[in-house]
Amino acid sequence: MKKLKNISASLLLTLGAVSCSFLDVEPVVITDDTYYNSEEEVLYGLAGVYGAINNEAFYGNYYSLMLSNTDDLCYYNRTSANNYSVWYQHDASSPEIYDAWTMIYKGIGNANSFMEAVADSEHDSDHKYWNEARFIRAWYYFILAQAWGDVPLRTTAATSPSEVSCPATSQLEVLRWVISEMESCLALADMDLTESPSRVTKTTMWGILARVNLFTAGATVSGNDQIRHDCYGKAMAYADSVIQSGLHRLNPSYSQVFINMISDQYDTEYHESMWEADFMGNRSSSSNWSNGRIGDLIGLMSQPTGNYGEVNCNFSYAQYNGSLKLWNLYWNVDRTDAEMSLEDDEDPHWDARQMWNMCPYNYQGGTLRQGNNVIAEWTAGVDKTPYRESSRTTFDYPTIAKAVRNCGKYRRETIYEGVKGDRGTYTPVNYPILRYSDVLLMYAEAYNEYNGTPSQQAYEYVKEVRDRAGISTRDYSEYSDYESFRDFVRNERGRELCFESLRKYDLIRWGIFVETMHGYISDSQSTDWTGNTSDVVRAMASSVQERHVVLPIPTIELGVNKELVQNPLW
Amino acid sequence: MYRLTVSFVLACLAVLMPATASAQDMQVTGRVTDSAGEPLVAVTVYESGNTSNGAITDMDGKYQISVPQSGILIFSCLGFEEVQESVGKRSVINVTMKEEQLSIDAAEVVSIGYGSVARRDLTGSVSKVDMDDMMKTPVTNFDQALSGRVAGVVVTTSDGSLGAEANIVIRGNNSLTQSSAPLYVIDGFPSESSMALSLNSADIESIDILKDASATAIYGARGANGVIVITTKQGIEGKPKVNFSSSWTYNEISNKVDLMDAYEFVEFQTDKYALSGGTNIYLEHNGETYSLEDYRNVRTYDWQDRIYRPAFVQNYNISLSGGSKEAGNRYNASFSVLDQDGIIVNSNFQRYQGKINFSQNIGKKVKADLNVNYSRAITSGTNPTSAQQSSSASGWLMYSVWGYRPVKPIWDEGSDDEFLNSPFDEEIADASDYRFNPALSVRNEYRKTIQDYLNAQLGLTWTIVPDLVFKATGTYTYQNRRREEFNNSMTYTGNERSPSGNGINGAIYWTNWVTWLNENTLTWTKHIRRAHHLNLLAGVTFQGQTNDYKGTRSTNMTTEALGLNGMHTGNYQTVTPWEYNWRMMSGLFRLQYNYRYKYYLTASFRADGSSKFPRGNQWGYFPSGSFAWNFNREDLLKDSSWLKNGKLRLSWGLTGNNRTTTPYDFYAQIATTPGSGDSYDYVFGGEIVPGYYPANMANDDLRWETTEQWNVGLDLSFFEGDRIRLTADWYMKNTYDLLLQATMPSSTGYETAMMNIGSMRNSGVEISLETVNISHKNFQWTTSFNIAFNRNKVTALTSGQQSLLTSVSWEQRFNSQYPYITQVGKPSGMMYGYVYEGTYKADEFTGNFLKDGIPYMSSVGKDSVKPGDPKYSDINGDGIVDDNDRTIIGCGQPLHTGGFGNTFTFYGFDLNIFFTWSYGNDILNANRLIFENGNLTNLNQFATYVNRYDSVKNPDSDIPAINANGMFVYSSRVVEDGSYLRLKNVSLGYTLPRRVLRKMHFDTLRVYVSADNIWTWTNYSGPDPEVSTRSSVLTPGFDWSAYPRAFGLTAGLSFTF
Repeated sequence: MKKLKNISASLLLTLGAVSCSFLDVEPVVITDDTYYNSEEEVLYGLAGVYGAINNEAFYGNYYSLMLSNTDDLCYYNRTSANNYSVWYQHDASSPEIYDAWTMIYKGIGNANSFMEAVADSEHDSDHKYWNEARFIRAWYYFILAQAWGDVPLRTTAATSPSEVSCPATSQLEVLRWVISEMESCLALADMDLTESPSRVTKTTMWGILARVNLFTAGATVSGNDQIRHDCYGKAMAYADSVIQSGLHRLNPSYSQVFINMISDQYDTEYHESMWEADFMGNRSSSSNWSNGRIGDLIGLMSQPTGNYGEVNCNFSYAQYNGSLKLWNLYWNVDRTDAEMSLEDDEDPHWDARQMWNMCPYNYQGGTLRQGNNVIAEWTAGVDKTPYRESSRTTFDYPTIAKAVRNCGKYRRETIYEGVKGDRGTYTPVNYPILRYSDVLLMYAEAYNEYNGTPSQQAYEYVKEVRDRAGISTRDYSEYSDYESFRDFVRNERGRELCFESLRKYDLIRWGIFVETMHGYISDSQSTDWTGNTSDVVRAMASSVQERHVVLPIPTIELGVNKELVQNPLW
Repeated sequence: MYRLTVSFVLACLAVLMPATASAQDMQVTGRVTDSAGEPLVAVTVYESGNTSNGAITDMDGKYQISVPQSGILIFSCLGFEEVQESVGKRSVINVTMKEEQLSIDAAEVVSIGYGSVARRDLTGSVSKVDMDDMMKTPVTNFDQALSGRVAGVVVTTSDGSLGAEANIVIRGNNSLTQSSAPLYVIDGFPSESSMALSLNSADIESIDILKDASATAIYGARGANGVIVITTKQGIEGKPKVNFSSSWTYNEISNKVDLMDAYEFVEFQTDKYALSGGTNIYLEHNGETYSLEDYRNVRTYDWQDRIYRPAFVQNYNISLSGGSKEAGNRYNASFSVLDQDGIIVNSNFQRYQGKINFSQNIGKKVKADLNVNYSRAITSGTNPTSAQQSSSASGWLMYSVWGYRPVKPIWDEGSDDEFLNSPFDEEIADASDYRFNPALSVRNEYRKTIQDYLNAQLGLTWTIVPDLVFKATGTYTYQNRRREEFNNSMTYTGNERSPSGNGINGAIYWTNWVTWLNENTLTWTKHIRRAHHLNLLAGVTFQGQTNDYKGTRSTNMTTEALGLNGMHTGNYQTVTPWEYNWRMMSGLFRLQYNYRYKYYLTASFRADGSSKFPRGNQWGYFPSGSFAWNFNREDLLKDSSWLKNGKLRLSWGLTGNNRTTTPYDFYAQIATTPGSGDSYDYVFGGEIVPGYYPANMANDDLRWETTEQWNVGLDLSFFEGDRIRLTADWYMKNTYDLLLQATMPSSTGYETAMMNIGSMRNSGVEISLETVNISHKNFQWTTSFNIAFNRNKVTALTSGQQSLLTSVSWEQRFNSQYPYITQVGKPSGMMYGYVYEGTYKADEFTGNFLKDGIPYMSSVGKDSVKPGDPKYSDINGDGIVDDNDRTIIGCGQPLHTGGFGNTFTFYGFDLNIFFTWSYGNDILNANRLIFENGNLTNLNQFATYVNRYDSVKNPDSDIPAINANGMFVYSSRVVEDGSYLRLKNVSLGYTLPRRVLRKMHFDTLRVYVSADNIWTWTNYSGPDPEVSTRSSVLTPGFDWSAYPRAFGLTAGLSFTF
């Protein structure tokens, strides 16, 4: 019995002594209280804040393409789709909507955690990193409010899984919060363009502030006239600040702006591109990793079958085309009589932007027959393949096949991309977020709206954009009233900024989204709309309803965030 | 104190005390032996009516006692019938005691965790696997052989894959997102994996399955999903015995899928071209035209024949066992080799395994046990259930096997070999439908998984005093899994035309587990007279595990000549490594008491501490209690001729679960994930900067998941020889604080978090019945039958969440839909989708347009609907079929499952026939979504698709037409009844008679033949109803590209000498 006592006593002693330390296992993960110990780690944390942009769910594809690039100028050209948002047939459980929502909020979550962690850090004593994260967070909220309307506004990091519900803040309140946050960021921001356009600078902030103010002044935001007026004023002032800074100019070559994005070059001379989603690599190895589908889903069709060493355009599904309306905007809207009277095939008639954006060829490959005779053959991926209408090709007849051309803006031609024979579907092609030409057009638009009338200066800025495209412009006198100038700027935005995920939100803020989209129904019946995509766009346009000015709140979010309700339109 | 000496086991203490004898008594001495003449130690000898006068036999069975001549001596010993002898004038009384004739229930020993009891003394619900029946036929892995053997134990193998561990669920799923696998305790070593690959089933002595809380609570923290206790064979004292067994099996595909033949396929394509336009490559070529009838008698290429083969299995076991009483040792050493070819070309499973169990007495009180097991298991070959890429159906092997063209165009002058060996179907291969020759895939893809497993265990048993035993064990296990892959240019991903762009590529991944365990227990047994029987157990245990994963992957290698050794010629790719560590410590206590083997009480308590939870929540406490009443021992029934055994059991207890996803789930974590789709890396000024981000929220409240379980059980046996034995149990399990990978509102910045949220209920009934139908000396017929009903119900999810949708990743058109839903108030993992009503018929149209008022799919559009399109129910009646019309269309969980076996022995012959079944579960036959579809050009279809809708030829068919709209959704069209009854095994053996064997110097010799997977009765249209390729609680019964099951024919032989 004594033995028993001894044994149990010693066992209990052992148990008591070891239980505390024994169960405390050092985890093989980085716990949050052990990070941000150097400036480098702070920089890595900031990269994590920006990093959401490069995810496929955000600028890599879902947000930039599926959710934002179906508008009156750009349409999805396939007869079947895995993601119905490209046809406005999505609903609250569509995965691309949930994924984009989630990724943007993850960016916000990263920013919240980062800002709290470095707020008092000796490694960010001048608060520059903190400030940059604060701006990016505000921009994420702008994207959310612009796309979804009322959204939950979380400005602190979520720290416990049991306290997660958060009601929505109204779209207007979110946008006003965004504006005030962004304005607060200006004081600490730099003008230095060294790492532009991958990182935001003070001029980028001004430019984005102009955009946010324009949207806030827009038709679908519930502000009053005073708020709208103030916002137009601010938009004008911020755009003007960018222009007056003198740091940015238009690149004389429109296409070069995008060639730089395709070839991963920064334009250090003109700095026209002010902010880009900067993708790098093509997944050839892990140190060369991209999550961007730009150039692949939106690009020139090219599906080579084996001869990869010889290809002139890397792999691309090319799911987005320019519309007949876009063609006409270039071809006969706002053109001078002199240019209009030129023969179709003469150079001066062409807007340089049309040549680039509505490229007359892709790399699909194919055979042209006349009867049983083969007239021409093109190898997929290798040969520039013209669009064809029976036996006519766009090489000989450059104005046929108006509405079936792939978006040429982000083409993966190997002379630009640099790598030959890339079979991957993830690309190094960057995507524009803010360009200087947009700033010029925003100034012009805001001036007109703010003052109720345009000015010579505003006109000059629009003309500057047109001059670069190599086309002539009618006199100011023809645009000097509010309405004609407004339409002029709107059309110019289309010509200049198509395929850049901006048009849809422009139409929304102008209050003309639904009616404009329905324009496809008649356009697709035009004899100019050849090819088999007319049925697709007609079905797409018929699906567009008033509710599509916002996206639905994802079902999964509604299921677990008890304080959130579905958008009233959904 | 003296009174105690009469109680028979403790009484040996009395040896130490001199017996007081009075003068008028006479000295009696003698020797007590058993029926074999061996001395019996510690037999109590006492004078009848004077229990204070007693003695105990010594090591030689001898005793000495003083008694009056008129006295009667009583000899008493546990397990023997009591003997009474009148003293008279004898001074020497030698006694032979007879062993008590025990019923099966008293003789059968059942493991209960940290000890064992006779079945008679069991208070909880524990099922013993009949190893004799199970081992009648060879089984590569013991887990698969459990199927249908034990009520309430559902064994599912996802398909026929080689070397896969079975998924075992006891009494329903407790967990939603975390594993529901039971705890395996192999020779005392607890593990969350069955280690079935590493164990040789011939080494297994017994398998006991602990089901209710009373039985499992001793494993408290980890017992909630049930416990499977496996004990391996130990040596037996005696002369060395050699046991040899071997078997040879012939396997072939048990059920191929019927596909369209050449003519049917060309007809299908011709119809399709007529609708879609384009040049019919079968009928037109270079200006020549051919007719469909030209294809009437051309060769049909069934690609299944190119990848399936008859396959052979060889299995050899040899063991040597024995022990010496003088040397105080026992040993059992075994070695086994298994070489199993799979029925898919190039697939193989091999195992080399050796095991030594050795025990040695050190002095009289201490015994040392050493057990060492080592095995190497090698699985190789392409597995249809693991995809090259899950974003497209074409990434899976069976897609190519079933879908590849069954016909060579009639104008193709190439040879058969050229057609069969061309890597692509040139006519169709484009990037979005990359169809690679499956025959080349399986022959060229190099896939190998090598698993090494070492388990070493040393135990010391110290019998401090005869009824107080201290036992300490230390165990160390090391497991390493190395996975190798290499894809040369003739493989799906390695070919230069592959959309993966990986070129020649290869990879090696390692996963290691190192686990150690120390357990210390003290057992005290006490019997007070014949009435009170007490067993107390107390112990402490410590366990720890390190688990890590590393790997390397290389793409676009510039040579394929070196295989994986050419990895350095390619581009290295990211493989994210990890390491997990956890520790546990526990204190346990159990009391077992019974009164005259009539009333039983068991109570246990375990406290578990786990490092997987934050401080303050590390400890969980798991009590249990049970009561049993052997009512057949009541006076009324004691001498009943028909009731031999009757027991009522009642138990209650709490058990736990600590299976978090990682051991660090409660920490707030910062992570970076370069080179992945989840990367947050960004480019600053032309340089990629690694993005670090918060990856996990802290959860200071994370704690044990708890299951409360009630059980009522009844054990009955009737008639002499236990002719009918019945066990029935009813249980109810409520699991709460479910460890759930819970969905977060992603507006928090996190999609999921490990939380204790939600609750679930499983309740059910289990019945097993064993009968001896005929029992003659030379002819016996016994039957065993078991059936289990389990009802599973989710009672709560994440705060207020009503449903949880789950997607399955296999084909991009479906990956964003949710075929499964888990709803509060319903069983987990219900199938979810549209209700299929058949096809639209011509009379529903006016001209080309659907009549008003007939619902149509919003994604198709009213104008596009045409006759032959699938028609789905408009559940909410709003006139259009959209997301709101999805509903529950099937249930993956069966109503009942069970097994039914008959054994006949006739002279030396034994015949065993075994059936298993599952009733009431549905299967989502995803194969039909692709192979009864008609939207994909040049993709062969199941033969059933011949009867598709055609406005002229077959206008009443409910199989959708070619190019039908709305085909790429989950619907009840492909949900099928998965009930089946399977004749799983028939074996016939012959054991040679002893007299023949004696001449040959053999102890036993048996030869047998057996057949597996002989016949299945089912309405399921797929190749096999026992399928679940995405076997998880949330996605049961999904059938896509499964490894087909084999029919097997085995001949075997075993002998001992």
